[in-house]
Amino acid sequence: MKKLVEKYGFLWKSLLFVFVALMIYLLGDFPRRNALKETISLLTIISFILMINQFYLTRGFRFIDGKGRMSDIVRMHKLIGYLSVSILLIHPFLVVLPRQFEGGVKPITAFWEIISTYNNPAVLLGICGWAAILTMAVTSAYRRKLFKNYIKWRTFHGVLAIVSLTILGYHVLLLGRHSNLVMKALYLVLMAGGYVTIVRTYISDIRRGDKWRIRDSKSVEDSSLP
Amino acid sequence: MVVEQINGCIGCGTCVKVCPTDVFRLDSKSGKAIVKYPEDCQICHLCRLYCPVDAITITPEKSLPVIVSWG
Ligand code: SF4
Ligand code: SF4
Repeated sequence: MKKLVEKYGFLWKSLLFVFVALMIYLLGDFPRRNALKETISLLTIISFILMINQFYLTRGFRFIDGKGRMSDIVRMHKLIGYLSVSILLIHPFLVVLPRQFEGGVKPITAFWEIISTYNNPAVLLGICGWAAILTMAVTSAYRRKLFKNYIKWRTFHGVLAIVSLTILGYHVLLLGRHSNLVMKALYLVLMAGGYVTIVRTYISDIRRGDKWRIRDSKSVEDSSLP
Repeated sequence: MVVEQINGCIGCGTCVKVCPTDVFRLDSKSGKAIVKYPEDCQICHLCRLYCPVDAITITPEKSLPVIVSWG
């Protein structure tokens, strides 16, 4: 047990974020519906929080993650990433699923109504965000075939993550059934923290790269000396 | 108020069309549904049943079970 805690101790942030979101959900003044609808809502909230949490399961945070090894962090990053992306990808279909068991509008009609409504930007943002995370999932799955250079892959993945989460975040802030003021604040704080970390990591990468380039060029000059 | 909350409205306008007593309007600024004439509501639940994203919540105390034909 102690070993397990040491190995996966870095997951404390993920658990904390999910716990805070669950508390807001439980204590907030939200209309409670039937078990299926509430389960779908909870799954979506947890998946979105875990998607933001992906920024915190990266190199930028390894120094405050205690004894966690980078390979374990990467393994968890992949597992949580694929799980939460899968749930977010089926989210548009899950939203209309309960209609199958009720009178009124049928799921297929409701789905068509949703994707053909552009009265406010929220649905369009949702569609763009959906396409962005699908791209992220596919490029991650085929990364070795698509990218020969690891640094290029990492930059592409990081930038796409920022773009996807920004679009999805805006969609959630505009449309989220449980996006009250406190939940919105949680999303914004976590996203801002994640963005700052990833940008800081990339900037330090570039600086380090420059240093190495200067050092390398110096050593080339030195080696050319007689 | 009978329509208690509207959460996650996408602004499709279905509730405006289906409400027999014309309770809703689409807000031109936000593009979302608003309860304009709450006192006219007859608690028929049509808005709730036809909203594609299930955004409308009707006060439970004022709700009658909806009878829907099966099959
Ligand atoms: S319950 Fe019926 S009358 Fe009341 S707002 Fe909805 S559609 Fe209109
Ligand atoms: S039917 Fe639902 S989504 Fe459409 S405008 Fe009315 S409340 Fe909004």
